[in-house]
Amino acid sequence: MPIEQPLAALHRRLSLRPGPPAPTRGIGDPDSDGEDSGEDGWAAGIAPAPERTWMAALRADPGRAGGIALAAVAVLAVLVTVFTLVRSQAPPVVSAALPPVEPVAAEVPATGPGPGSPRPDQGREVVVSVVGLVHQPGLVTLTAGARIADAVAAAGGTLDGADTLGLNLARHVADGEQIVVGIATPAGRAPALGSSATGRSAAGPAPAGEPDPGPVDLNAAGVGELDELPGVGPVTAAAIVAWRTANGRFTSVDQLAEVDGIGPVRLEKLRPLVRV
Amino acid sequence: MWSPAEPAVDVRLVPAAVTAWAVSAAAITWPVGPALTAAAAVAGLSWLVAWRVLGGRCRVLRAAGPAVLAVALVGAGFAVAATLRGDAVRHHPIVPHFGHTVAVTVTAADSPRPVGGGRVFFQAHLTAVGDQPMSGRVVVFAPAAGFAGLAAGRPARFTARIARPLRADLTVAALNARGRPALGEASAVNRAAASVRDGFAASARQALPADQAAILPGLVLGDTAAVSPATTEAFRIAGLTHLTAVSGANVTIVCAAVLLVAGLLGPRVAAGLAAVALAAFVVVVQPSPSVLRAAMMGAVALLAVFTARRRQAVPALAATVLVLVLWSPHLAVDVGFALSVSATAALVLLAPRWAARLTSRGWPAPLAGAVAVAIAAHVVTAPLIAAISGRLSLVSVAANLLVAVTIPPITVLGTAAAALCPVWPGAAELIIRFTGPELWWLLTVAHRAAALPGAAVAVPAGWAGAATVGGVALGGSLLWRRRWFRWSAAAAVLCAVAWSVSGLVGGP
Repeated sequence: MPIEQPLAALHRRLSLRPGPPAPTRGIGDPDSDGEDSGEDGWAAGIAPAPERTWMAALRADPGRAGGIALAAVAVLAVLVTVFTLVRSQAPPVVSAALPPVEPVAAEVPATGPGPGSPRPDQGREVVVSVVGLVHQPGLVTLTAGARIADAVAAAGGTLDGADTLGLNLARHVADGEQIVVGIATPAGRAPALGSSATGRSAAGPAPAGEPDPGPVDLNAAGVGELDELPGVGPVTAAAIVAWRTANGRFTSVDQLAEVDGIGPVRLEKLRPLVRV
Repeated sequence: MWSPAEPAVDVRLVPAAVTAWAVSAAAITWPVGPALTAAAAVAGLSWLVAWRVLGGRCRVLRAAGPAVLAVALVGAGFAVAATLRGDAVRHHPIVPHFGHTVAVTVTAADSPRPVGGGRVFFQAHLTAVGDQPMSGRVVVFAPAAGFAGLAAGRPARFTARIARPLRADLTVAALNARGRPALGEASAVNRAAASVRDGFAASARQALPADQAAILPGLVLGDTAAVSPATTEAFRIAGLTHLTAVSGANVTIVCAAVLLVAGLLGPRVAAGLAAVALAAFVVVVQPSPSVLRAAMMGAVALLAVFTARRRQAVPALAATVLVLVLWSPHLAVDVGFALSVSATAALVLLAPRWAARLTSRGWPAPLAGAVAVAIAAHVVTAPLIAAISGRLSLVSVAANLLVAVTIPPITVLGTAAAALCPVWPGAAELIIRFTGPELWWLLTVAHRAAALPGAAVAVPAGWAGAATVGGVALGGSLLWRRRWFRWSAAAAVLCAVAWSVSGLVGGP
């Protein structure tokens, strides 16, 4: 090196200083600082005198060894990509190690609200919540087929002033229902706390006794039958039939999702009512 | 912090890192990969020829030869890599399934985030489509019900309509899930991480009021599942959202705590233990782009401790960008990654200088530091945030200044509590109680700032917004030296404050 440039001199002083050693450059960078590579700092070469302080504050020349390291990074980038792609095209071995996943559940909604949970059969118990003006508000457990009167009695009976007119005491209770026993309102006054019996099955079919027509066969039903399904109007029914004409037949209820106008919510509502 | 007497700022890796990032982003976003490769190769070759032929006469050529050549090589290498990846995505075996509804198996890459309308969004790795094994990154939109229990590393099988990727970011498809998924079991490590997260959230609920308990896991572990939409929106308007993502501060605290405790064993052992703690932390908080950025910088800093070299933030950041873009090229077009890197660069390069300038004018040093950090981070990230959200927060700097004092105690106490949770929940709850007043202040500031009239103004989204806000910020920084500009800026701020106050006081 014939003439030592100021920047190189600064580097040299820095690296010879007994205090902190030379800065790190991170991964894949060999232990060389460029001063010994025989190259002058290019920043020093191009910097005019007035900007010397600013340029001297930057250390920009990677030197020959740093350049080689960067070239290695470039090659590494290509190789990593190639190997990643080659490996991802082979059947992934990891999938064998994955825990078994249950097949997507076409039968999930049919099992009702939760694992191992009940169709309201004979001999099963139902749990309802009785709150309001009863002696012992809270959860009561009844046999299936019990009526609201039984539930109220199981909760200790009504208190004075309770309104039983708003309750159909003869109705069968359904599991998970809440029965509110409210205040009897004097005539002419707006009701303060009315009685009610609400449950999950509010929108569902009425209690036992009605004959269940059974699920509609998607591949056999006509527009009329489909039209009677809840949430399916004549347009959607026609779209289902059109899908059948276009694609042959339904092999799974899930395929209803491909019909125009049937989103995930409606699909979930329809699932227990149709079959293939 | 910086002055001419200080040692040189090491920018040797910066051109290569910027080139790698820019080339990858361009080749992923537009089909220009081959052209970029050719351009980089031609530039490199012609530079090589010029260097060899004219190098003897031209000093600039001779001196800058290896540097430019290395950058051209890096550009060519990363262009080839991004082109190969983009090509693999275009010819992925899932392409024939576009528009069909089939059963798919995926492994989640992060926890589902709500997107409104009872639906959630998460990223995942494909395992199988139908019964055909497949791999590749996908984004999934799913109903919130049934997907709530999903977390990083947990496999799920569900029926989904497969659509084209939403944007060019190396995802192979966008899945629109229907119905309920069948969830599998995550690996033991991921289950342990999830149990730490859940345990911490449960302890927070025990010890704090509901709103504070919801935000604490976000500040400490980046777990924002419990945060209400109103609070999320308030944080967004007030420009405080970055607090609910795990960032460099959290990583620094974890590493510093281990280094301090294990310092007696010698610096190398301490650095090794800190690296283990860092890896565990990344698994617990799930590797989002900002976490990866912070953790990688932490790892580079630990490597500097290990090799007894001086720690410098700029080379660490540049090396982080190089390694992460090499490892996961999709980060080159990830907004979170861009925000994280640009904010870090601002904190490292701009903030110390501005703080020094303020201190030299007689400001107290802590205040000068806080103001410089808040303004530098806001100026650099505002164009990106404007491009994403089409909004510019005007209260961000003030809100960040007001809460700056409370963040370190929350992070330190919260991290300590999270580490204690699995072994001694009682002590964790006691520690969490001490974050209550700070959290109350943070939430109060966020809600009050967001409620101010004109807290955020609408700007055009996309490139136009970025250019507008970026231009204003750049012009403001350049013109700041002029006295007339400072006076008119002060007048504008006064007007804005007066308008805001008039809105607060209320109309007739």
